[in-house]
Amino acid sequence: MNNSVNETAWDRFWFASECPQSVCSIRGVFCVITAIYFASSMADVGQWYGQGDAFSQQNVASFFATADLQHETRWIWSPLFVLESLLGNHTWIHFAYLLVGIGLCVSVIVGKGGRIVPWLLWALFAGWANRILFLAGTVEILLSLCLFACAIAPPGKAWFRRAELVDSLPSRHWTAAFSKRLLGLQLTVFGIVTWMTMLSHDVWWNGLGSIALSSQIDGSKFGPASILGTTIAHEMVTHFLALALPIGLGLAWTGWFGASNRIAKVGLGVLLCWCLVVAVIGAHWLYAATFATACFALLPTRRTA
Amino acid sequence: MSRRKKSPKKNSGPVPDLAQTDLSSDSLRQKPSQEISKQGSDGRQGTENGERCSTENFPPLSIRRLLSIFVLFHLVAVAVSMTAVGASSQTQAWLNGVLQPYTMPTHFRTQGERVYLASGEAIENPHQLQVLYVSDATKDDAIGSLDASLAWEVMPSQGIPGLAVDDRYARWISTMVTLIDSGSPSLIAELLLPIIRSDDSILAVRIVRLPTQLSLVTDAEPDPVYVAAVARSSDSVSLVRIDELRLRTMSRDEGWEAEGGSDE
Repeated sequence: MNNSVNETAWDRFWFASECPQSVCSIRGVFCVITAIYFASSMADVGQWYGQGDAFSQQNVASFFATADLQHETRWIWSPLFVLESLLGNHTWIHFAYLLVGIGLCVSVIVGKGGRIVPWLLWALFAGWANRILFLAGTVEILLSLCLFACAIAPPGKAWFRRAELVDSLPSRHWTAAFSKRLLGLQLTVFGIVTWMTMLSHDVWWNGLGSIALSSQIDGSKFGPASILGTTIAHEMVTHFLALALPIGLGLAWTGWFGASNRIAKVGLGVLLCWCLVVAVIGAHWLYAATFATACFALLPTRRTA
Repeated sequence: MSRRKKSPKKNSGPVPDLAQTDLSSDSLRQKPSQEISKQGSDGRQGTENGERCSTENFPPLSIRRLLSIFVLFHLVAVAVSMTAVGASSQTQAWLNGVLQPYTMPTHFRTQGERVYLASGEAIENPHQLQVLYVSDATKDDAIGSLDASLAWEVMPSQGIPGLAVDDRYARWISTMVTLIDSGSPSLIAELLLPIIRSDDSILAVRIVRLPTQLSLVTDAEPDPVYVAAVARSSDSVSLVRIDELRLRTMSRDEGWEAEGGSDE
């Protein structure tokens, strides 16, 4: 390692060595979310991607040819396209792909496989998200970003039992800090864009945003009738959703600028509440879980007493 | 989540971070050999949070520079792709195109997917795919008027509302509705025909926009945004879109009487 005397605040922010335990834990939660995502995808694989289905390779190719959009697809890469070309359009290919994905999630959680496995998991996930095309939503983008950032961190177990903590503690490494900072900044960009685009619509100003969010789900058990039945309730929830995101992000970042860590934790709490409300009202469970997990990367790590 | 009890030690080991504690379900404890001294090896203080950085574990300067450039590029690419939803300036559209080789294979690009939670627009309403089976209507009836009086059957999602399987079904229908709204109804056939091919008894298909709490009183009924009859020949299946019935003008009295109204 190079002992440069020229490191700046930028260098200390990005490259100061850090114990990878916290980022390994965050990555472990992402892996659990990803495994749930893969498992849920197995439930309807047979409906979408098999021979003659709406998103079979032939049908997708035909769709883009009819729409004259082949040029838009040249960067949509997925190992599944290759596998389907080689082996045929069989549903078992997708099942096997998802099973391998779940296996990689477990492997990352237990810290096996070295640095390559988190990268493989990210590549596999991005390949799946690219393969399903229009069926992918916001959660795939957020998860892809988070898995990418976490793949940079050194390998390590996600969780330890108390007895094995001391012996199994991974050594400090600058990639742990780099991974965590990237995760935090990506989340901040994502959150700011989410907030700005929310505010470009009237419903987030006139108090109806929470109802608009809950109305997207047909048959949701958490509809306006049950939670947002009164004007005061849905307006309060709307204003909370519109305000909590920037306030939470702002407070969470204050820890990096000399403020007390308690303030940053208040910001984290606000963000977690925001995620909870989004999950319950809008039924965006995986999105909210991913967002909430990434929020833990925003807190600065205190390393000395 | 449990927190480790505070030990009565006075050592200068690291103070566990609450976030770390919560996630790892145990506090972070360093080996003595891994502890970082309060004063760095060069005698300098660290960052504001009591964090003191040792210079010994920094990567080489060239790697730092390369990664700094990458970080800036990456964050700009993510920001550009996320904000390129809806109307984009020419510059942003150009930049988005340039960044495609990076953002699309990695799935960092939104591909038109909104990152806002809700806009309240009608396209976000729940939609239903409904089909008309041969057994539910005579062919003459169906082709004559594919309206709500026929026994349309909902083709439901296989998932629980709000969970992933249901989300994918909703996005599939949402894609078709987007194609209708963007004036490309012919492309819907590419997404719908696989289902119609699999069932010979389907006579017609329609996509219905369901009203929500935000719908106006005038839109309080389910609104068919797409209706198509299935045309089958010996070797092919196609969809023939049925346009909406045009509004007719008639005198108020004529219409009133036709509906059996009376002025009392």
